[in-house]
Amino acid sequence: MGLGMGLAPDTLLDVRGLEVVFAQPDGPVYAVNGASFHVRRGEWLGILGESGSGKSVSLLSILGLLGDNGRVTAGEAWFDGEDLLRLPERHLRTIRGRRIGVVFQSVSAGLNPFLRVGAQVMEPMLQHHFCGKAEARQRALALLAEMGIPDPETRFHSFPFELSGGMRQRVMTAVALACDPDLLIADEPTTALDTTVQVQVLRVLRDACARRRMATIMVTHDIGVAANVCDRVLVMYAGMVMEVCPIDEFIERPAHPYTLALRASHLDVRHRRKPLVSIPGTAPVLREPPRGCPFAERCAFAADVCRRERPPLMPLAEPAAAAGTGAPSDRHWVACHRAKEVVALGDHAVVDRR
Amino acid sequence: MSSVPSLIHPVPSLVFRRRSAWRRFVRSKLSVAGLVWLTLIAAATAFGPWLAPHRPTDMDFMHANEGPSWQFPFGTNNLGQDLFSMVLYGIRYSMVIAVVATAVAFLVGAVIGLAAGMRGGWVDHVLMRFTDFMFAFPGFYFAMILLVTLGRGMPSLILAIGVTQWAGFARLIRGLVLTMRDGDLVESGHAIGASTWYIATRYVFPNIVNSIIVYTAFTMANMMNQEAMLSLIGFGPELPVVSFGTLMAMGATYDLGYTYLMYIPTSIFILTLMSLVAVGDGLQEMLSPKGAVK
Repeated sequence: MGLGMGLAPDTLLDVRGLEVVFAQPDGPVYAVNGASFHVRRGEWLGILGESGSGKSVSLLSILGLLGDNGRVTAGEAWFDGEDLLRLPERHLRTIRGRRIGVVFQSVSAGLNPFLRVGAQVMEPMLQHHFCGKAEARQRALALLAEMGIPDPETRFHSFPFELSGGMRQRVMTAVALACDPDLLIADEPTTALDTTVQVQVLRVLRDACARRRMATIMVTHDIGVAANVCDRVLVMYAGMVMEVCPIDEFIERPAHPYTLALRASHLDVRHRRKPLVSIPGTAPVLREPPRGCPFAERCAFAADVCRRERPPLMPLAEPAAAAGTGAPSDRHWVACHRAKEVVALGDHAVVDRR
Repeated sequence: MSSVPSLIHPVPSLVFRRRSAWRRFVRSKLSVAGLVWLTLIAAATAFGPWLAPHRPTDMDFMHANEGPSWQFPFGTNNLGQDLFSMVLYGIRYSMVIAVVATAVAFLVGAVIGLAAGMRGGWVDHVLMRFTDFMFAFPGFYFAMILLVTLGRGMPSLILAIGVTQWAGFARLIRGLVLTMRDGDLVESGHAIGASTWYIATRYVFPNIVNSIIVYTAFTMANMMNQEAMLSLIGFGPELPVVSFGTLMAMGATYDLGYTYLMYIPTSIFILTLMSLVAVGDGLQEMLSPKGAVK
């Protein structure tokens, strides 16, 4: 199952064969279809994909934060020797906010409007008996300062509505980091912010993570953001992992047609009048588990085999290392029947076949 | 003066928000009048025994059946008891019952409503069927049975009229919880590892309390009404203890010739009920977020 290989000893989270189904009034929706990925200590993993590709859902599901209608139907999520998907809620609660911090996208609704900023940062520490009240206060002030909030002593007593979006996002990050978690899950942390603020928040976040050697999984649909801060990227589509590779491979040698298309549709201010490329069609809502490749309908490379067989996630260029004996390769994996041709064509493929 | 807004103090203050909310309440003259009246009633409830010029049990046969005067502001009954003092004691009795019964109904309803809304699933199902049953239950007649069984008096009255009223709170609170449960705020509470009960009380409840306050005002009016009706048909406190209901009953039965005995307590009661409703309306206007943009 999953990657079918041993994992490096510093692997913090290892998700295998995750499947999530949502019960809708008009039948089930298959949101995540056998996603496998892992993240190492101190590593920054980006999850890329369109809206509805299952990136947020897969992370929420391993935290037990799915709504009533969502259900994990298969898979494992090993975090430090425990399978999160099989832990009782009571036990999982001691991990959320303590060992795994979460930052959400919404800067308006993520904070409790009735609690002052300081109390809100102290809350996880007190809930988890991480430290005493006096120490929690000191830590909260230090965290607010670390997040680049000017005059934390004053802001400590502010209500969320008195803060700007960027400031609120910093407070939410401080809440997530309050108990020094091993893993930070950031669900589009900067999407709601404007570009300059986005960069500030990302820089603060990256520095804070580096200081703690904390692993971070960041969900984003902004390739620019991912390219700037991530060590590795994972591309998701229809609840499946399409490609996972280090960021330099993602830039230099994308191997999945969907990755290519995503990259091509990213706007670049330096290339005025560059042809605007979009992916025809929309991301599918799967009413039944995908049989072939879910991207086949929108794919310029699609062949018969793509509609028949689901492509497995395979190592791209280093098959020897993947099967091998020494350190297993986690360099570049792709789920595409025609990956070799895609690599050979590179970015030309998109423009030519637009 | 330039019309460019100042950039020095861009932070809105809570004081400002409070004041604009108050302004919305004051806009309705009826609500203000209701509030003034309820303040008087509250004062009578709190200080009644010290304000009363006579003890309500004192009989003064030399002044029986007298109309209002300086000595007896509301007049006296056929036993020469001072109606003004009796009204003060009656207000106290009825208000205490209404407040305590409302508080009990609120507490029970809040626990059930929060539990049903937050837990969902079979917990929600069971609790809400129970609530539906309470709604359909003819509570007034059940209250009579309860009073006969337990004996008359304040604790039985509170139990009798409060025992069915929690259902409204439960249903309201559950509905409000459901609007928030799948929202970002609740999710962020779960994300820090807080327990469901902690999230319900610290995250959800403060956000829905406005709507509950409004409903509370109406429920209190309903409680007073129930108490008065039970007293009117003879299930109220036993003399010499008086409530609004027993005073109205007294005025209605054996003092037919002396109409002020009927008019005065009944008018005060009607005014109190109407004030509660008016204040409830005012609160609704004041606390509704829509009011702010009008």
